[in-house]
Amino acid sequence: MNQKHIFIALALLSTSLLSAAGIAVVSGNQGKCILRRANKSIKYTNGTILESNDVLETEKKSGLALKFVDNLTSMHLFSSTQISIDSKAIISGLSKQVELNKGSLYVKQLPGSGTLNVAFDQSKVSSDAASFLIRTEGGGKAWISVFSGTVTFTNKNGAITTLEAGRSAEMQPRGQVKANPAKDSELTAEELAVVKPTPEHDKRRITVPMANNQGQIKYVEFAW
Amino acid sequence: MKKTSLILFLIALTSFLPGIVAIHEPPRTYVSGSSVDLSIEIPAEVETIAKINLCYGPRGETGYSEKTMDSPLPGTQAFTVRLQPQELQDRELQYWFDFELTDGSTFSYPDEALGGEPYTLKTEIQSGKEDVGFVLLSTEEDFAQKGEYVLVVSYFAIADQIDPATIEVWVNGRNVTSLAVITENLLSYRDPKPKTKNYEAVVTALDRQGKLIKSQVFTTLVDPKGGRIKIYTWGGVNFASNFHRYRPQEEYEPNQPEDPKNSYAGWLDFNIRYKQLKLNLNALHSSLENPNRQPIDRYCAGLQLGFLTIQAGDQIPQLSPLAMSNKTIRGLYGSLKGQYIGLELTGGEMVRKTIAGGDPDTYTAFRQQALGGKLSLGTERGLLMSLTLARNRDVINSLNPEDYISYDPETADTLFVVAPQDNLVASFDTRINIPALNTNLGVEVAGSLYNRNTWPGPISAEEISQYLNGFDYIDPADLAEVFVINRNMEPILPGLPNCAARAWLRTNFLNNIISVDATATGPVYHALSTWGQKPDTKTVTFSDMFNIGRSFYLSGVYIWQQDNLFGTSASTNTNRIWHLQGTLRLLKYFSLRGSYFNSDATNDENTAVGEGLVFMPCLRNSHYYTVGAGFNNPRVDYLPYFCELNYRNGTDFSNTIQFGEYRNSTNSINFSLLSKFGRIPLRLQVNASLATLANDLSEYIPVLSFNYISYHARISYSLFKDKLIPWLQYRRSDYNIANKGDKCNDFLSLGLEAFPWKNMSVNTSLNRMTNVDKSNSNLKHQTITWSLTLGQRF
Repeated sequence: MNQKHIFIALALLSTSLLSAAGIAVVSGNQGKCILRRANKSIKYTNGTILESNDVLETEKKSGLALKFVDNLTSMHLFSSTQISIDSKAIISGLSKQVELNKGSLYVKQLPGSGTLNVAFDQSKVSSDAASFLIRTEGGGKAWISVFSGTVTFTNKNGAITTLEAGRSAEMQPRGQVKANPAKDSELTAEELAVVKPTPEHDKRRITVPMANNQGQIKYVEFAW
Repeated sequence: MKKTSLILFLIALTSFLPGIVAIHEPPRTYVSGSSVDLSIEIPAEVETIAKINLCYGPRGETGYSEKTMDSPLPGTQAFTVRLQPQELQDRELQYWFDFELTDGSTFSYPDEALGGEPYTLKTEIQSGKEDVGFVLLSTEEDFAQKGEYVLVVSYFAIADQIDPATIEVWVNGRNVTSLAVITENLLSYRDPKPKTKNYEAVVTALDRQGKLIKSQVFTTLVDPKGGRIKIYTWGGVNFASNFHRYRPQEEYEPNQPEDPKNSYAGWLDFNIRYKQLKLNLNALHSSLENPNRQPIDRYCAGLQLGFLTIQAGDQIPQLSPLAMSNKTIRGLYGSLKGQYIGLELTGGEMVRKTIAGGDPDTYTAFRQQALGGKLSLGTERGLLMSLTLARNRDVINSLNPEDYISYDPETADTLFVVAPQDNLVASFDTRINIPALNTNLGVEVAGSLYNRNTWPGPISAEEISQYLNGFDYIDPADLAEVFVINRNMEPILPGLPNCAARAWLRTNFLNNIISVDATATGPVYHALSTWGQKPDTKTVTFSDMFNIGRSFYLSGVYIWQQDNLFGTSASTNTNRIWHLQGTLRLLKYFSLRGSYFNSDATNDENTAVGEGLVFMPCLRNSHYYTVGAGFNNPRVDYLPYFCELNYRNGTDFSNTIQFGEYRNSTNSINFSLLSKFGRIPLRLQVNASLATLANDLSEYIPVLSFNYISYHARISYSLFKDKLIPWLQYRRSDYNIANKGDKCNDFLSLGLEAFPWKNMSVNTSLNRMTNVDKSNSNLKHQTITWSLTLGQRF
């Protein structure tokens, strides 16, 4: 059992005993964002501690980043996005529940941090250790792109689809899932800047999908 | 490299000039919000030190402040200084000592040129064992830290082990708990207007057993301007003055002190940084400047851009201890430092003191052309080799003709009574740093050419050929631009007497911090760009410092020095100095100290030269021991939180006509205590010392036995949250000198330390010093001094 597991186990024990504990913290913000707690708007800054059932909303040309108390999970809300957050202790780690009402959300979750569920309409996306972006406009329709790890999509009928890194999928209102190789061109400029920040010296790069002998798609990056 | 730096940093006891040993026991930590007393003890040759300045500043920043240390009290050898909480600012500081000797030379201790590193001083909260349960969430990766400082720490892994009500948050040494949002598993603190770039935070809490646990020091680099304006400025303006009113004694006495001169000084430091570009401006004006020591006033402007540094104005290039170091040069300096190659060049003017008009009591100074260059190859992490060249030439027309020409009315001769000089030095050094072995060693050799009188100009090729019996390799006229060769050279053909060498080793193993230095200087080695090596001597210094944790320190120094390196004198003088000191800490708050100091000076006849001469054997010895006990617990209120008792016993002995025949026995006992009074911001310091000096044997000089008792008390009271600290100090020393009656020295001082706004300090004091001869009221003299210092950092 490595140190990380001990840390998580201890965290679970302690978290289960806590009351009025913080679950996350605002780590960055841009433009106009709103934090609501018990239906009241709360003034926030970077470093503001978030509690269970807090609602976060960004307006146009705005963004907000948060980091969970386990130090292993972070999220970024893009423009015109609304989520509510919650967490509780479970055996395998800290369970994070996010309800995505609208907009675009980027999630980065390192191994050992417990489960994460992002619910939208009557469907949900789950992961243990993954980074992905999910975008919804409501009405049961969503789009997801997985950058690392594995993500499980459960539709409103209970059907489960697994998405691996490098794949994106479009979810239809009836629960159908259509998976494709992920492309950067599917991301908006705002999303791309957060998901794949480009250092100045790395601007001259191109990523090309190529199939190997087994027909698996691999992504080869060329830099010059 | 870090480990090696640590070695050098920890060296607390060493010798840096022959005969001078400094002992400084770094306190390393201090209690937040309290003052810190620093002292440096000079066991011998203390009279050669004019003053010592403490230089201190935040660690990792280039700006620093200076504070003059108090001279030793009667019967002690320790220079002391107190840093107030406003000066400490609860920051981690680095500090060093700037020495000024009575002969005008200056140097730093620890000396960076010799591989030393400043001491550090941090709050207690910044030191100690760390608990990994505190996790920093506000990492620089996830938090931009632009225009604000945000600290978020998670401790939910240990949340069930600690009491959240006992959590304290310390940022840059300041307790900001009341400003932090603390939940049961997470805390957050935000400074919306950061004033500094480096933030150091520590979180402490009590566990369920009441034991203090703490986080590691979370260091965060903040962009205070938030990327809006990326120009940073910082610096300081300072002013210091002393005004005296002197009332001389009514009866003339040759030994009475002179009327002290009023003095003032002002200095400015201004720094700008924009990305990689750094600019600095420095200026100093002082009424006490000696024009014969260095150019009056100091101005310097500098630029640093990556590996390039350019300085214009007054600076002190440290190219090499044997060739060019510790002397002020007014001119240009430039350096290019790459990973494996470095080049430093400097050129300008120095001054050289000389007599004026042939009168040995009147002085003037030559302006002296100084050029220096150093080429380094290698890396400081491994092998580094350097070649240094330095040239100094007196500028003849910088003196008035009447200063160097004297007219003899009897012979009608015109005499040149002051001689311009020429000096050329080359040195080569190799140093090896072995981080894996915590070892740094090196060797430097240097040779000099020195012409003590260039008035006649270069010797002709024919003359040199006759003089050196067929020497025709060079025509001195061709080299006159570089160096004037004539018969006034010492000697005309360079050899080992023109050379100097030094070697050093610093290492750390098994808790021993060992430093070995060896130097040898030829009798005619001259380097006018340094304050001079003691000619015709060889010196070996060995020091070791051993510690077991913080409970036991043992340190020792051995210095051996001998002159007459080439056997050219009739006698050879040898000095041996050794010193041993130990400190044992007991039960955290108590300490026992003991030390022994011994100095021997002897001479031996050199029969090869002194045959037929009367040899006068000489033996001088000085030895003493000190034992002491102390208590120090800064958390104690009302009762003394610090007290120390020391007893010193020693003997000085001489059996030589040259220095007199005497045996002096000294005994002294010193007692010090410091008290504070809880919430009442009153502080009390009391020192008392009692000493006797008995002269047992005095055949050639009068008996100088005396007793003295000295009291010293200082009381201060802090007002408006330490913004105003008025203080009162009184010191009285009563002397009873055999055959000379009773004398009394009385010193009363009333002062104020004020910190009216951030980074502003005002210190002023009114001092009255009275010397009274109880047997003759006409021998009373008094000095009243008003001192004022102002400092504003920005």
